[in-house]
Amino acid sequence: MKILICEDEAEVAEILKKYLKYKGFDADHAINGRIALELIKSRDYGIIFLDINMPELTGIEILKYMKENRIKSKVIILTGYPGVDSDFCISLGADKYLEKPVNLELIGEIVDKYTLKTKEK
Amino acid sequence: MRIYNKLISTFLILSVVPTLFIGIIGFYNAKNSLTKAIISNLNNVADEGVKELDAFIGARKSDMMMLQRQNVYRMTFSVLDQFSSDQLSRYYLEAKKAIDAQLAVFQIAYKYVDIRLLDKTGRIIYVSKPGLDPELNKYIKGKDDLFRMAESGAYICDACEDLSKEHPFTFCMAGLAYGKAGEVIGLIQLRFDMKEIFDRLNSNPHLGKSGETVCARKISDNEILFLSPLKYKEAIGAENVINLGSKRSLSIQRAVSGEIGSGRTIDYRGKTVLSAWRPVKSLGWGFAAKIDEGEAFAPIDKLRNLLAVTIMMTVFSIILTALIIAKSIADPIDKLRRGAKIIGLGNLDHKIGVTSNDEVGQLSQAFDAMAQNLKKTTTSIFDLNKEISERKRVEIERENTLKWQREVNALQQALLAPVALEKKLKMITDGITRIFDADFCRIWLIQPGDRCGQDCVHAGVKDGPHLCRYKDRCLHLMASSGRYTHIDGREHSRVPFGSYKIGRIAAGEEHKFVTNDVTNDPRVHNHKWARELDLVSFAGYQLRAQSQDPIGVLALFAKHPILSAEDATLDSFSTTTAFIVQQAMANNNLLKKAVELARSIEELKRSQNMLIQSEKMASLGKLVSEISHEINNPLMIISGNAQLSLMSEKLNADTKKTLELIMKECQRAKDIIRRVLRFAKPSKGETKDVNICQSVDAVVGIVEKQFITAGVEIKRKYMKDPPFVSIDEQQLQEVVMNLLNNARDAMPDGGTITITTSLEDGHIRVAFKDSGTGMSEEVKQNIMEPFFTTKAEGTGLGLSICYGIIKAHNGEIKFESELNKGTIVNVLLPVGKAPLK
Repeated sequence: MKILICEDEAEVAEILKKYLKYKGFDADHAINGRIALELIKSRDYGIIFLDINMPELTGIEILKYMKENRIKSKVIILTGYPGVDSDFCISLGADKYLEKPVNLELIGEIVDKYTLKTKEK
Repeated sequence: MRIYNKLISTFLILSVVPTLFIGIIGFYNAKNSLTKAIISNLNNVADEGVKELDAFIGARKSDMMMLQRQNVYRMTFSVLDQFSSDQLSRYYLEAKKAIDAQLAVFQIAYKYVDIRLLDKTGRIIYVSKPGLDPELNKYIKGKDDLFRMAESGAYICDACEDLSKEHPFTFCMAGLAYGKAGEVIGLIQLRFDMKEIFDRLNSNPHLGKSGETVCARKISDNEILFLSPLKYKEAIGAENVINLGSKRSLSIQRAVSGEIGSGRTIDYRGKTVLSAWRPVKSLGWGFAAKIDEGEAFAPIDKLRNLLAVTIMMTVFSIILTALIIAKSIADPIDKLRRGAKIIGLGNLDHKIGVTSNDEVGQLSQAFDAMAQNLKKTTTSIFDLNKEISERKRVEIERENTLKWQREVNALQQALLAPVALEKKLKMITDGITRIFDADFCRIWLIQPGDRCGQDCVHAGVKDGPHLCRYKDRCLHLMASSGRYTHIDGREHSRVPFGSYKIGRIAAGEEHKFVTNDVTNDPRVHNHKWARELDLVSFAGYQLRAQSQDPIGVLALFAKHPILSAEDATLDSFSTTTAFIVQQAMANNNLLKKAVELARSIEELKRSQNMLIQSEKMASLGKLVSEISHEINNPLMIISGNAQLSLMSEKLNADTKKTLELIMKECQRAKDIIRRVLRFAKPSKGETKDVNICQSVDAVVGIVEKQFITAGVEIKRKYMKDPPFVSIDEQQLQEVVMNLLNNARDAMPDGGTITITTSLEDGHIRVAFKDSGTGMSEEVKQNIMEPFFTTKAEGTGLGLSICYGIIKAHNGEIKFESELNKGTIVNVLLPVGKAPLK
């Protein structure tokens, strides 16, 4: 099960990566929206952590692309920018909306839940 | 009595009375002479009748005497007497045959009914009829009387009861029969019918159709028997008996009594008749001739009718003539009388104008001439008087005009005072009513219609000259003085432009309208009303602006004629009024504009403030948004690293505690940011129907213990069954918490917080009242500003956030505060659809 972290703040991405590794998951990291889109196109991710405010391509654009191309990965919005409406993101296909700073244990619970479901399938 | 009536009366008396008199006299004369002629005719008829009866009886007597002298019965009398019981015996038959031959001569001379022979015992021994006779051998009644009467000569009787009905008017003549020696041997009877002679007597032409003759005789001392046939009675003989002395048949009663006479009597029918009566001495009878008065006087009746028609026609023509003549005489006299009266009253120009050639005509001409002369002498005096009164009138008018002018000038001066237009108009109508003694005076001004489609009576007019055509130019009654002082009447407070006299004056069809005959002038609307109020005159003037546009009407009604001088003064004053109105309206408009301007400026200020406020908020929101993004990432890094470090198992207790503190503080920072964000862009979050009292009380329950420690008591005054409010409960509780904290902070030495919930205009009000320090004006002004605080440790965001939350729920926050007494914070939220049970 592959996890992708789309995050322009390298430190934030690093924390997530460390925590997921601690949980036993391997995660890719995309530093901007364009790279994230390339990765999503080329690889099949089970879970995608998506920041909204990213250079080159925003999280919203990536959501739209995924919706248009019917990419079924679980998307967890992780944003520090309060200008985005959570409802709007959910309507574009996001599965979870979390605001920074976020408790890592909460992320662990969500990832456990999604991977369990995938395994069951 | 007028001369005309007198003449007619005289004519009538002089002509009708003699005509009637002559007519009546003539009528009675004619009637009398006719009566006389009829009576004389009747006398002749009676005389002739008696003569004829006498002659008839004389003839019968001579027959009797001849029979008595005959020998024939002397020779056969004894045979007949002896064998009469056996009529068929040869001796009897022979004897009868011999007598029959002798008697045949008499039968030829006069047609007797029969001839009889009786013996001395009164037995009938012979009847001249051929064949057997049942009467034979019978004895007659009253034989002795008969013989006794016959001794004195031939005796006529009618008592032949045994006679047949064939001859009802059969009479019997008896004579003695003598023997050879002249002794009486029996009786001879001659029986004859008098019907023929009675009929002949009745056929006299003088008796006319109704007349007749009657014969009668006494049959006892008080009874009379009619012998002749009666024209109007079918009974005959013994049935026709009347009592002597009865009122009927007086003429025959008198005749029977031996009287001769004639006159008007009543006959046996009870009818009035003219009659003549005579006794028939040879028979001892009475005889009367009579004729019905109706028939006798028929010519008189005709004459009377003719006379009546003639008199009526005569009287009619006399009346007609009298009328014509009386008129021809009375008219000129009457004309003369009237003319004299008119001249007498002073009209010397009057001409009587009777031109006839008679005395009246001459008198009339004399009168005319006299009037002419009189006129010449009086004209000069009259002219002088006229000039004097004219000069007086002009003088008075000049004085009045001056007086009006003075008063009007005074009024104009008074109108310069700076008072409202309505008051000025009232001053004008009051002044005009007083100065010109008007019954009432009014002013209308043209303004847009304000009652159209509401209660305006003129809206009901759908057609005709009074149709309201100009709704933007309606005449509003602005002032009224005199009889009517109200200006809000339904009918007259608004007049359509161009309609009625006021509307027409306003429209300038007649920019001025003055009449001194309001009760008849067709231009005035209600004559009856004007008559009832004794109004005489009306004057209306158009009020024109300097631009010559109509702006209204000034009008008045008065009980005296409006003189030309008054009219001129009023006309010029209407110009002044128009000027004042225009001026005042301009002032009014200016004032109105000023007020409007002031309002607009205030409005502008307010919207500017709001704009500034909202811009402030918007920029703040953006700033906060930016900042929060910049802070959230570092917070994430800090807390994330702290968490990752905590996962290491080699940590000592101190480090672990420090890391946990880092995490907690990060969480606090996150909360602060969230709050700031909420203020900058408050979102409703998840709303649900909430019982506001319960929701508020939940917060109170959390803080109450803490508050009591600080010496603050919380009083609850919640309403029962509050309607639900659709709200984000968490946000509401945040507001409540904030407000309670503020209240507590306002009471450093303790106090009371009273929470009241109530309904107000579709909103639910939650009031937080404290007994704290209150707020100064400056504080009140800035209380909602973000970052404004009076507290040493406050962020200045609490109330701003509250404001944001309540606004997002379409509610309001209001403050009432007094320094050193306390503050009331009212939170108003719109209620939901149904009460929350």
